[in-house]
Amino acid sequence: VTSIARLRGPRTPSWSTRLSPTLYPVALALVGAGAIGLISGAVALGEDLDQAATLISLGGGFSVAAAAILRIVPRPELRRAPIVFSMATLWFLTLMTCAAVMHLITSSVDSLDVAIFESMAAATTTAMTTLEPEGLDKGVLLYRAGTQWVAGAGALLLAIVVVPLVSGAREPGLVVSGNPLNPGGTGGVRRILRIYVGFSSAIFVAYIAAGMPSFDALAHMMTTVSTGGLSTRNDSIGAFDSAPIEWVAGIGSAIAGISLVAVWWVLSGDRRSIRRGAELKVYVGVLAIATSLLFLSFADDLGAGEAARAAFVTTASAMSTTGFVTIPWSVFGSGAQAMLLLLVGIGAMTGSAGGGFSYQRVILVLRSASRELGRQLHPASVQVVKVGGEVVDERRIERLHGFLITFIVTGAVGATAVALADQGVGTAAAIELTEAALVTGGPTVGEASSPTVADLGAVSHIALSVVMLLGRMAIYPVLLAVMTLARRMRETARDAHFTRKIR
Amino acid sequence: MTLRPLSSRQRVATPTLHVVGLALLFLAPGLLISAAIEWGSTTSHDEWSLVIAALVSASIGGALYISTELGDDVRTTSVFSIVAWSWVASSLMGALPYVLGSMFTVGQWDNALFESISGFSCTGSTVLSDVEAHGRGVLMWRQMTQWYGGMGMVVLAVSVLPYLGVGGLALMTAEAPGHSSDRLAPRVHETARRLWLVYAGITLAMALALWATPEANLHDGVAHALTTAATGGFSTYSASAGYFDSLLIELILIVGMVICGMSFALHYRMLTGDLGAWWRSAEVRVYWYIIAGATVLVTATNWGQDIAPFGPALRDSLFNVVTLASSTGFGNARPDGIGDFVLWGGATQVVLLGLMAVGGCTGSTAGGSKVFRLQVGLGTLKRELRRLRHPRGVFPIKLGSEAVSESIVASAMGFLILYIGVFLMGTLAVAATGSDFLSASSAAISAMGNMGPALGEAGPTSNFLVFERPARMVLAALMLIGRLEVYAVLLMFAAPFRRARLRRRHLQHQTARDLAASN
Repeated sequence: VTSIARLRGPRTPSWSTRLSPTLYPVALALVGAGAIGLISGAVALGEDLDQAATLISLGGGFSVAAAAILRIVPRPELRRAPIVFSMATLWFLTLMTCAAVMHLITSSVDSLDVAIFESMAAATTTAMTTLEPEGLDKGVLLYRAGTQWVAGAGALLLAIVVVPLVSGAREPGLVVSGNPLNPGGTGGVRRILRIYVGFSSAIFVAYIAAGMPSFDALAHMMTTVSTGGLSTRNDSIGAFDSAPIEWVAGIGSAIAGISLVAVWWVLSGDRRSIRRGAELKVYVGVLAIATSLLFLSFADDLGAGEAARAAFVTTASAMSTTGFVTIPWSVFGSGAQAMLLLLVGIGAMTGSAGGGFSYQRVILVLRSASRELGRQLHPASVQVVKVGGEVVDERRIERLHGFLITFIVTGAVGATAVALADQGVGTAAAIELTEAALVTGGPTVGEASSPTVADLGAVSHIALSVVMLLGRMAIYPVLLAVMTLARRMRETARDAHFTRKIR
Repeated sequence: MTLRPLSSRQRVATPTLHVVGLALLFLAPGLLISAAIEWGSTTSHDEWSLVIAALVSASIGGALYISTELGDDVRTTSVFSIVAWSWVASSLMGALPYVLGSMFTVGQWDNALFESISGFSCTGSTVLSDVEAHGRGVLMWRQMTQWYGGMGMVVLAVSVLPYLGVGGLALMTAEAPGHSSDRLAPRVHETARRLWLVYAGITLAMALALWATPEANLHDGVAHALTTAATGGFSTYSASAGYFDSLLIELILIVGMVICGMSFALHYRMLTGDLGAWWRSAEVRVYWYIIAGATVLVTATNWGQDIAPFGPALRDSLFNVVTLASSTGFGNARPDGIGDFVLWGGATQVVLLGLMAVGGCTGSTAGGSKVFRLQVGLGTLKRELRRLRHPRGVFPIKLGSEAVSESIVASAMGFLILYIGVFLMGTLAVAATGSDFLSASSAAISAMGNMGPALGEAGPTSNFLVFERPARMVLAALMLIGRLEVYAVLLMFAAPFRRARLRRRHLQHQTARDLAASN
């Protein structure tokens, strides 16, 4: 028997095992989409029965499909980076597809490209929309917000658990040994989800206490903690015209932009880590300075209290890439606009649900540039880059340099595509729109506000959707997934070619 | 004949002031030639301002040169301060005839300084609204500032200072990386001399070619040759090259701009019989591909968007792509053309912004972050993509068939980071003075890349008076930072700081010794 087994060679894995890296993330995304559909349908019951039935059916369908897949397909092993990154990309794409199906079935959008754009904005926690929220049903509004909430949780797990699992401490910058939320196994996932749910509950209660209606509070809670920024009102958070609500939105956004690891340090009273956390210090420092500068520019037109509130909420919303608006950016001075665009570009902290280049990368990039400056004076010297007292691995710096170039190239290609597809879009608007999509931010200055997004054509919508996905996944995972897919297709074609030749 | 001063104990050993003095001495002949031209000008008579400036320049330069010496060795810390202060001194002296003459009043000193810095840094941005209103001599001085700046004052100094030795190589690298990496002779000053010879030769050829056209006279030919060879872009007309409305002149300028955006060391090799020198350079090939690709894209877009018929679209797209890719900045706006690229579509403008950021090749007179660094940056990107699949793989970055050393890659990436950082800070500063985002960012990128025109309010048919006074000063600083490739300006205070630190330490030691002796 043994010799026969040897002759047969290694056992071929079953089809379900082979398909598990593809189907497992799809099933996980369907679980989230199903839950959102059911909750949204339940909320819509009091408003529109047909809409409620549609959403509940959709949610039910997603849940059944998820259950069926999870029953058949085993959990894949998360060892190799290409597989893990492909799974993460598939997870976000499935979440997006579910949202697109919801938009098309409920007729909240009238074309496929708008459905893809809207659902991608929701699945990547980007505050860009072509729709006027006040014209949408409650069920649809909650589905959008819920998708952002689930996507926010996914982004956190991706950044803190999944990526370090396959790439060590190289990306996105969280040192595994010093990361209390990634102890290995499922413990880290539970901890992260516990903090996320706890933070969400606190923000929901705060919104209610600030006087926000319960439905709006639920929807805004979901888009605050996930740094999504989609609102139930056309004028975003400013529509409530309430100081307490704006303070809650501002504080919530600012916290959502902080790394969950740093939040854990605060919760567990780890003062030593807080003191050594260079990124946290820079984030808080920039928040304070930018708020002060905006306050000074607002102080003449608004009262001190209102100016402080508007300055803080605007800065926090920009830095965390949430995208809530209290005062339209188009009325700001050009200096304030440029500063906000820069803050949006840098984005939130690594290990948060926010997007952007991230402060950790900025610190590393500047330290490496500073080292090169020193090397000009002392070419033969050996200098290392240190952050928070720890020497940074050279490979990590090289990887960061590559990411910087990728980030710029992606933005440039995106802006060219948008400007090429829509002649009416000016250069500045194309750049601002692409930046907002790449950092999963939201409405920006002037032409880049929501109405212009609605006026864009199908090609621009698709281009921006791709940029949003690249930005949400920090580019590399998507590229790796595409490369893996291309390689598999090439291998399949080659196998088919050889088979034909042998025959 | 050697210019080495006689050794004397009275001379102060300060290499910075020594080379600054020499740089100022070099300006005097240019100022005197311009004075002679101004004397024959019919529009204005500012010859005395040029003569006085020449005397001041020669006096200060001569005094510094005679009273100082290089010392035994040029330290690394001194290299950057020598280069940066030479450029600052030249820019200040270059502004003198503008203020003394009728171009600007004393109260407009900042405009004079802006024009001078724009000249020496080969940027070509101007604050003159009516260029033709000024005398031929003053305008020729304006062109000459770009010619001086094109190859660099320090390279000129190295070419006449044989005793600089290894320090000369470091100086050339600090002023314009690329010149030293491709040495044309074993001795550094001989390399510098040959580079200046090629530079002068190209200028002469351009002047003759332009003069031979029916639309340009000798003055036009020489003036535009000076700024083409330097990839500066100043013109003696407000409409720049568009004034001539001549396809032939535009074609001559296009050829000149493309050539001067490439390494002058390669030109020397070509001229001495190595006909494959251009094509063998991976950087030059990419530079050509960029120009060809951008021309096709911009022409197709302008033609496809019905901005112009195919012929004019091709002509104006090619000219503007070349003028920005080589960082020259000539304009060719004509009533029947589409040379004013501010009126083009958004996509073409994004491409133009990209060209402004990249610029020409290393070792050329062009500005920008350079094609070489773009290649290194894209090589880094490609390497990281390969590493995603093979995390333990060793993938050197290659340009053509040659691997680039990791220290050069790190230096190039460090430069790009600093370049982006300075650009962002510059954009913020200009926007804070009230300029819109597009004008502020494109002006900052144009100034850093030594282009000349920008987008938004500061297009090729406009001037930089659209910016507020503080914004113009910021842009002037960006021009110098960009021209000296960031490092020199950021490290220009390194030598004085080091000297102050050494003096303080020396004083401390002396005090300690005195105390010990008294005890």
